[in-house]
Amino acid sequence: MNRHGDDGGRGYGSESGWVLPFLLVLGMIALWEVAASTGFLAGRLGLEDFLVPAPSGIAEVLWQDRGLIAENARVTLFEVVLGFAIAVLLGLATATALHLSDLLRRASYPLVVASQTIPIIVVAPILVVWFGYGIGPKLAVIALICFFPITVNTLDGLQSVDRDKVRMMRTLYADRTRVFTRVEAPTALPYAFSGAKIAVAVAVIGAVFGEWAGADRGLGYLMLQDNAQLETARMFASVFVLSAMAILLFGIVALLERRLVRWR
Amino acid sequence: MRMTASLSGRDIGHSFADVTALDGFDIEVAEGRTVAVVGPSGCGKSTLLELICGLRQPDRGSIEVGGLASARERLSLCAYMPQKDCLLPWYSAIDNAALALRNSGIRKAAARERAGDLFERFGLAGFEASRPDELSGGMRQRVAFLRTLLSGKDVMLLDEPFAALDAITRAELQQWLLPALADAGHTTVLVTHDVEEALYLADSVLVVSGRPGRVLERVDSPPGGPGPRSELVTAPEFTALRERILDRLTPPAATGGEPPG
Repeated sequence: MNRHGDDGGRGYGSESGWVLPFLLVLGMIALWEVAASTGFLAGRLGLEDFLVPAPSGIAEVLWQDRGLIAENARVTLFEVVLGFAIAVLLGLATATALHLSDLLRRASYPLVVASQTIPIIVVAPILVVWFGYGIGPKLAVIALICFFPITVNTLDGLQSVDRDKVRMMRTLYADRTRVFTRVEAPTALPYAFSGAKIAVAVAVIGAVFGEWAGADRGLGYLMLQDNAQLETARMFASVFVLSAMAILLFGIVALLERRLVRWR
Repeated sequence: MRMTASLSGRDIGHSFADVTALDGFDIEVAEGRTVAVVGPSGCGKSTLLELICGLRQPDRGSIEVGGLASARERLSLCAYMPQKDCLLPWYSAIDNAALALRNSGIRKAAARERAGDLFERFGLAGFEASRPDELSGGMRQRVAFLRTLLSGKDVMLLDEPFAALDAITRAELQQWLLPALADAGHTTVLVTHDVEEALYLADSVLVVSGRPGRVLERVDSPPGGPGPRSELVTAPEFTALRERILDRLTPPAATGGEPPG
C-alpha cells in the first residue's frame, strides 16, 4: 500500500492497524461478489447459481429474514454466554484448587489435559441422549470446550507468581488468603484473560456443535434446516452472524481485560 | 524512639543441596544499632537475612530476636526488605507502602492516611496515586523502604537496598536513609557489597568471607558527624578503613579494584 499518500501519513499510526486487514477483506468480498454474481463460481463448480450466493445476495437474505435469524441468534447467544460463564467459574475454581494443593495438581492435571483430547463432536450426541433437546447439552459442550484454555492459563499464571513477592508478603503479616488475593490472583489475572479470550472465540463453535447434535432452535439448528432445504444464502447469513457474535464477545472480554488489568 | 529488640545469632550454619551458604556465622546487634554485612556475592548474605527473619530455619546454630528463638516469633519481629523492590504493579505507590497495614486488617482509608503522612518526609509527596512503573528507581526503593518501615516491626533487615540504582541516586538515598534509620531507632541489619555504604550507614561492619560465609572481622565505623556525606566518606580515617576492608575482601591473587560483586 502507498504509505506516503496525501493523507498526512495516517498509515503510520498504530490506531490505523485495522485499515490493511479491512481493505483486504473488502477486496476479497468484492472478488467473491464478481465471481458469484457473474455465475463464474457456480459454473466452475457445476452447480445451480442459487447454491453459490454472492455477498450481496447473502446481505439481502440477512435483511429479509432478520426476524428469524435474530430469534435463533438470541437462543445461540444465550447458550454461548451461559456456557462460557459456567466454564469461567469452573475453570477459575479448578485452577485455584490445583494451585493450592500440590497433591490435587499432581493427581488431576493430566486429567485436565486429557479432557482436551476428548472429541467434543462425538460427545455431543451422547449428551443429547442423556439430557435431551434442552439447553443442558449445549451448555455442557460449550463449557467443555472453554474449560481447558481458561483452567490451564489461569493455573500457569498462579504458578508463575514471583516467590520473592510472596515472601515479602509473609514478612508483612499476610496470611495465606491475603497472599492469594493480593499477589497470586492479580498475577494470574492477565493469564486468565488470555485463556478467556481463546475460550470465548471457540465458545460459538461449541454452541453450533451442541445444536447440531440435537436442537429445535438456535443458529446451528437453522443452518441444519437451511442445508436440508438448500437455503444456501441463509446458511451463509447464519455463519456471518455467528462470526460477528464471536468477534463481539471477544471484544467484550478484551475490553474487560483493559479495564481490569491496568498495570500492563 | 520506639521499643526495639536486640538480635543475636551464634554459630549459624546453612546449606542448600550440596552448597554450604553459611558456616559458623556469628552476629550480634544491640538494640537500636545498625550492623552492616559486607562480602563478595554468593557469601550467603541474603540467606543470612532470610534465616534471621524466620523465612528459613538454619541447619545449625541459634538465632534470637528480642530473646525469642522460634521462626514464627522472629518473623513477627523482623521486617525484611528484599533486594528487588517487589512493589506490586497492581497497587498505587501509597497502597504498596501501606501493604503491611492492610495485611494486618487496617481499613484502606486509615492505612493510606498513615502512609500518606510519611510520603512527604520521604520525598514522595504527589506520587501517592502513581503506579510503581511510573516511579524512578530511587522512588521505588523509597516506597519499598517505607513499606518495610510501616510494618512497625522492631528489626529491619535490608538486603542490598540500593544495589539496583546508579551511583548518584545511591549516594542520594544513602544520605537520606541515615537519618531515617536513626529516627526510627530500629535494630537494623544491612547487607551490601558496597564497603563505603556499609561504613557510612552502619555502626559496625561485619566483613564476610566468600562461600561458605563466615565473619572475618568486625570493624567499627568511624563516628559520623553532622557534615554532608561527601565530606564524611572522603575523610582520611574513613578511606583508610574502607581500603583495609577492601584488602580483606580481595583474594591474594587479585590486586586492587572492587571486591568481586
